[in-house]
Amino acid sequence: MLPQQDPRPGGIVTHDLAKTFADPGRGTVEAVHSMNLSCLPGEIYGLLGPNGAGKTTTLRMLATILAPTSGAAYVDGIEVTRDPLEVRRRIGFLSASTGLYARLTARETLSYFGELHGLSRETREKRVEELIEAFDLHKFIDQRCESLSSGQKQRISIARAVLHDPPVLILDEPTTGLDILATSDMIDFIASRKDQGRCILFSTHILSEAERLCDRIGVIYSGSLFASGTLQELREQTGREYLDEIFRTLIAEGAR
Amino acid sequence: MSLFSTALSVAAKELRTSLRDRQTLIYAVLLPLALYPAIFWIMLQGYAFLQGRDGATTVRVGVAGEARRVEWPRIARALEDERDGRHPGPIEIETLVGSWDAKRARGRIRSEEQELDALLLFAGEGQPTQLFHDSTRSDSTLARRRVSERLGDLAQRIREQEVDAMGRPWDELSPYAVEERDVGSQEGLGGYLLSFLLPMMFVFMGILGAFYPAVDATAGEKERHTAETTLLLPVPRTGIYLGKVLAIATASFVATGLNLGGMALAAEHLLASMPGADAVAIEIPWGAFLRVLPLGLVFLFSMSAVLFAVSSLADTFKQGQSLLGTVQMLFLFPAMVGVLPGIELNAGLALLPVVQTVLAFKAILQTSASESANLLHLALAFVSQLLYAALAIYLALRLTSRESLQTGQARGRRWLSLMRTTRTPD
Repeated sequence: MLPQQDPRPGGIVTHDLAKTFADPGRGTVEAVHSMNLSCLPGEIYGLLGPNGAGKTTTLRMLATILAPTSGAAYVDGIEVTRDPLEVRRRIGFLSASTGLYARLTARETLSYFGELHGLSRETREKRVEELIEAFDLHKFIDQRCESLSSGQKQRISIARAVLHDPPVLILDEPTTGLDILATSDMIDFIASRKDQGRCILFSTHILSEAERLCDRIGVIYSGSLFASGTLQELREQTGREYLDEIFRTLIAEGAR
Repeated sequence: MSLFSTALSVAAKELRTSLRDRQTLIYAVLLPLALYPAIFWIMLQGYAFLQGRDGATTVRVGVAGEARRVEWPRIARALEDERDGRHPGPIEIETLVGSWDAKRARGRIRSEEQELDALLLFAGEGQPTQLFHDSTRSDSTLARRRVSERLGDLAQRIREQEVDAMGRPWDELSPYAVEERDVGSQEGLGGYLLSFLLPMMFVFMGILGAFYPAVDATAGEKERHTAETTLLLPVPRTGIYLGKVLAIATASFVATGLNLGGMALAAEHLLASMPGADAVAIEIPWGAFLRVLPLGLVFLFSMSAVLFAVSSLADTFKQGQSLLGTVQMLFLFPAMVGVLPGIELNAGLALLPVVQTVLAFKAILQTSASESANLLHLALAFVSQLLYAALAIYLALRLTSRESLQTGQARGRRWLSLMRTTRTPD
């Protein structure tokens, strides 16, 4: 029997988290197995791995989009399968597949999310104005999302993810498809959230991003977490200096 | 947020986005407001044009055989009187000389030159006169109508003159006379005619109104990568799915109302100006609409749930359209069967989905205000429709909560096996 609340408050903790899919073509697919990771408040944890490693599946389980097959995951102290609604109230989730409603304006999108997060009309109007200021959305806040550039869309998506000021941020390859300026904005945003004491778990396959931003890095491959620690700890573990070398060494060891 | 308020918020957002979609707008609003009056107006203009063209067309009729009989001048005068009868217009007569029989007459009418539209062959004494025409040619059909009508009128006049000459009253020669008396009111006849059209149109329009919103709210969301955004909302997912079904049903209801209203108004005002329209009074059956409303709403809700469930299996808008294209036949065929003459609402048919809605609507339309349709059958139809709606919504919610629909792994799976796969956390 799993404890209902993780003893440590805040952040993200997983215990032997696993996910299998029944694929009509390939049979049973083990997308994630025995995943144990933790990300504390005020920490940026980078999940590093190639495409198909299980990063997105892990993050989707934490965001309650997918149900774990076994194991447990706690978000801000709440077990994801026991109270998924409360988990969703406490996370801000962003990925390439969390698009914006094309035919709503940016303001309507934010207001809609505010409404379903239970904010009163007055509170959400105030909050939307704060976000307009914080992310400089003035010029396009009343335009339909379908007419926005990818950088503008990304800023609205970030605003949508933090509208309810969540203690935990889960970002799945947040810079994929962004241009240099939008990528830079995203990196600044992640860093700023850390400064505010939020727990940030993000996946990436861009080594430089992980190297620059992360307090700790987890290397994931074939659904398993091969190593986890600070960059210095990973250097010591592998005897390699640079992250790309560390990554390749860990993958090669894991494959054996 | 409660389940109900979540559903309402989601439905409001879905409706707002749907009404900003061009295709939905065209089918739900533009079509009923502009197209039906336009179609009826074009029909009227076309009818008037054909009437005018027929009246101005000269048909050529050959006369052969025993045409030099004593009554011929009278016949010729009758044929040439172009103002006479229901099919006025000129007839040009060509007298054909020589020996004529049926074979030669047939050959002449069917000849490629088509210089004659009809041919009257007068046979010998005591033999019937034959009128040759070609029903595959419109001018020949027109010639047949004009000649038959004018000769029929002439024959009647001759009979009446001869009876007068004998000094006997005309009705003495008729052993009995039958006069038809239609006791149905003009409104009743209009209602009867509408009862075959409106119930079927109700189902057609309902599907038309629900089609694009259903695909848009499911496969469209996946295609635009907003399905996951919606799943992140901190509200029960059952509320989200219910909201989507509610939005689809509302769009369908609005589209059906506008379509039927637009069609009825156009029919009432434009069809009234057509010849023969005075025999039928087409009145908008507002009372019947109101009485059928509860059943109609439940039907639209269950149909929307089915369309929502099926289109959620698709990953793209195109796939969704293709899936629903097939599924809509499940509604259209029973609707067509339901309006067949002779099929009435009974206890058995009141249990058949779709058919029971169409038959109940038909029964209500055919019942005048002073009468009441069989209430037991109507109640049975309503209760069974309610049960179908509950079942459709239950299955739709069960199906759409499958995780495999979110991960694109539903493809190739059977519905029943999908129902046994993992659910997304609510």
